[in-house]
Amino acid sequence: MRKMLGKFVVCSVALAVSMLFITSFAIGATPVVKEWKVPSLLFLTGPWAGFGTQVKWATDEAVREINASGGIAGKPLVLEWHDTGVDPAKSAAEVSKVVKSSLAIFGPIGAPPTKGGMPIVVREKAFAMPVSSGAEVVREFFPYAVSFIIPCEEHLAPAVTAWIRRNPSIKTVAQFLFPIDPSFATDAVEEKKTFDKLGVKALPTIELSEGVDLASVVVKAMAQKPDGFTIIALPVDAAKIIQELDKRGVKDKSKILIFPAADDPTLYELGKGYLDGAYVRHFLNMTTKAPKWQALYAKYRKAFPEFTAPSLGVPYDYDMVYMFKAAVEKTGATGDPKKLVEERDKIREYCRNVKGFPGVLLNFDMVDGMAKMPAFLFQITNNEKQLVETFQPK
Amino acid sequence: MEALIAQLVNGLAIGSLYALLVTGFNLLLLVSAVVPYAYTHIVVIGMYTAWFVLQLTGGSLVWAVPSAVVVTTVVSMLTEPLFRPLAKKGAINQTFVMSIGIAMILTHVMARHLHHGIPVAFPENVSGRMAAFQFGVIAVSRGQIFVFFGTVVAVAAFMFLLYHTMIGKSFRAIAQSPFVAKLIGIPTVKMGIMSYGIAGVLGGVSAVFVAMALGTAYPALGDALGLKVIATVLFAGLGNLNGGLACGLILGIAESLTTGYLPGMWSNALAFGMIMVTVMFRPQGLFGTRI
Amino acid sequence: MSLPLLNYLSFSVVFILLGWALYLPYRCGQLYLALVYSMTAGAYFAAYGTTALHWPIALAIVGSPFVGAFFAFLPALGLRRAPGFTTAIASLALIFILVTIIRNLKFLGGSQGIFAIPPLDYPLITLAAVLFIAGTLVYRIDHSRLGRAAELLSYSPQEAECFGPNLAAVSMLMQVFSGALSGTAGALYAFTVGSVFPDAFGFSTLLVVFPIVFIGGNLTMWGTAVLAPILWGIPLVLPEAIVDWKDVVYGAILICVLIVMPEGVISKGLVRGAGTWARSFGLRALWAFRTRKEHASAK
Repeated sequence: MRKMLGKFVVCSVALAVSMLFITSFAIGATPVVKEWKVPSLLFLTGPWAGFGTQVKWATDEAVREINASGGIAGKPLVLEWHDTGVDPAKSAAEVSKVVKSSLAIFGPIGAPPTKGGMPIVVREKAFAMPVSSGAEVVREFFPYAVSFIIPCEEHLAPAVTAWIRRNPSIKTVAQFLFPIDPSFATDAVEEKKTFDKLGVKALPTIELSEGVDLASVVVKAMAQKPDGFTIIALPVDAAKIIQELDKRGVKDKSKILIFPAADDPTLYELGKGYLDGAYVRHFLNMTTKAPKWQALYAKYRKAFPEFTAPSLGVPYDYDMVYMFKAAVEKTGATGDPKKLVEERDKIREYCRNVKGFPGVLLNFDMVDGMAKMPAFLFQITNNEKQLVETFQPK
Repeated sequence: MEALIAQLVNGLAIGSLYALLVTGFNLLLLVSAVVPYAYTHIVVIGMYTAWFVLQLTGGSLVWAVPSAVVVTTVVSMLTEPLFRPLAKKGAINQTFVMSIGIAMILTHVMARHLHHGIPVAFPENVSGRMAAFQFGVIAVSRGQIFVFFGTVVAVAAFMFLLYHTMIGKSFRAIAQSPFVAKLIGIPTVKMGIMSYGIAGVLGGVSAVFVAMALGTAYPALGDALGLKVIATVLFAGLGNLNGGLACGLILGIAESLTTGYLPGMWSNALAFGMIMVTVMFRPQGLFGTRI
Repeated sequence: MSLPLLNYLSFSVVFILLGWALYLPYRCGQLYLALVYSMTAGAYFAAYGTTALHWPIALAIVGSPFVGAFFAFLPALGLRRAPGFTTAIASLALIFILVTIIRNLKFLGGSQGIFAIPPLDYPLITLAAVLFIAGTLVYRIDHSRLGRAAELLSYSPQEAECFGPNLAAVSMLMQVFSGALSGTAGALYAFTVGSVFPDAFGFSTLLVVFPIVFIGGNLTMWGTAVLAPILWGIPLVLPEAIVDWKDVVYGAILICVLIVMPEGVISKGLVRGAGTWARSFGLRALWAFRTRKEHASAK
């Protein structure tokens, strides 16, 4: 009798647990139209979670401000955070949970989660905003996504040309490339094309691999005796490369050009004392005195007092939330589940082609899902970027 | 020729780090019969501890080094009771899974609660990034010199402990046969706990040397080093201390040379490929398995 | 069926297959980590076949185990005599090698990968069929002379070889079967996610599969089948309030289960007991049915 009771209890528990699993995935719970519930996909766990923290802060800050000023069309905005952990499978799983019931999905951020989660968005003809994932990755999923990062063929050539003009003694360039991300590889190709046009010899690319020590790649690069160096790598690696170059006698840092994704708090933290004089090409000017940015930057410094240079996800994901707000209000979306598809299509079209969107750094246009923004060239002085040239989009 | 010498110098520096990490790893493998994948994560925790103490004390190594050693020792010994039931049953693969769980928790702590998960940079006086000697592309930093000779001293001290003390004899007896060691009266549980402590001390010392060599610590470093350490241990032969030392150096030099002379993307594939070919011809590892 | 549930079931099947792919060579004492290598081969085969060559999905699914098996066969020629843990490092190398080769192949998309892979036409039927066929294969291997030979070899290769089982042949077969299962898992992965790229396959996949096998119970195939959906599903159902602590919760679960049940959740004894109970339940039900029938006819 006791054995049967025990078996009955075990079976009931197993059944209850399975029901919990199954029902937890159930969609069809009616979205509450008293608020705008938007799923936001970001890597909140795992070894790179620290970078996600800044992006989450910026997104939450935008939501706070919007709700403090009355919400979107009078209704508060509520984010549902979903962790992708930089894992494409997890990203796909999280996207599948929300894709059918959302007007828009914020993210997924990061190249692997974007590539893992976006195919489901495309299949369902939904809409996602991986605004700070590389343009080369996101445009594979058009028209169901938007990107704020301008493609490298638009921002790269003017900045590289300006760098060479400022360093006429550079006749040969060694290029450090971490090819793990396709947008990095595209940057490298575009750089080489620009050097060719300028008559500068691009030496064979020095590829980095995932490792702990970069001294070997620096030795390899220096053995080619280049006049200048470009770095297309993650911030940690960029900082280490510059230190190793310095150790081997490269004291004139104006001969070094750093690419946008390396421009991050990490670069300035790790490279402190070694970066002065180096140039940074970028599509964001976070040294602008625009009042909205100054206000956000002040809050950022309060939240992260150790960091002077926010990562590019901060302004982009902040703008993402405001763009959604504008899209909802301008298209007259109601959040009614019966009109989900129709309203989502309108929001998507709005976001893909909005003109004069008031971003936190500057006003910009969206053209077929891509942002049209100027490009910039900075030089690092006292471990901070100073704007030296601006290049307007064509 | 200059470039070759520079690559060899780099390889020796990074190889000596691997050798030191492998020594601590092998100690736990031999004495406690666990596969401590989380060992490198504990080392990175030690690095973060050193960094915090350096910030608080204005760069004092006198406080930072012992703090790192204490923290790594404590964390290492805290994991002992978790591994004990598995080690008793000889469930070595399960210990690997257990250490994956521990590694996940430690990575979470570093990624979410230490310096906002952003990499930390060690000050100049610790990392010794300035070149002590430079000739063309050959540059040897103070940090690298310290790491290499420090590793030699640390390993020598450990070998002395292992071969010239009663504790070391007990470790070797347990590694050879835990059953016989128990029969002759060696307190295997106590020795097992002690091995965690000594591995923790080695880990703390490693933390300081890794900080000197790399100049930075970040949450993903634990996984990056862990993979290299496991590869070295398997390449040398499980539990082979001397083999682990040699293979650590070999791997460091091989990594440097493949990165230096072949496309970077291929360096990991070629380094591991070399290991694969070796074990195909010598399945017990280059120097033979000890467990 | 709802999309998230279908997605969950798809990944559960993928990880069950990968778990069995680890389990089979482990039966003869080899820690064979090249399942990710075979999974990559299967995934790219399915992706390239359906997107560039416009094959039907069924062809890609049927072909993927053969591709996975072939890719496993080649290194198995050298790894068949490698003992236990040594196989691990050799097979780990294969992952790096294959992924690096793929990154350099433009026709496979290089670092970008392949996108717009179509979804499965009949997902439930396909998943059920694949699981059934794979499960039957693993079960038959387990309960065959091959499986018994493998188990004997895992205990003592030298002694076992005196009685007949040839380590090289048995381990090679197990590795090839493992490759077939991983190749299929790769194809299902490709059709579920809709894209394949080099970053998706790496050491991190092994860190998911390992706990499934060794917590589920590495001495029986049922442990993997039960634990894969649970361990995959736990992070997906955690409340938002604790999603930031997901890794801590998951790590703590791994540690607690291993401390309480070091041999794994599903042990051989449990499987035997469940089988006995099921048989006796079936017999009693049959007896009750016959008795009632006899009473009814007597009346």
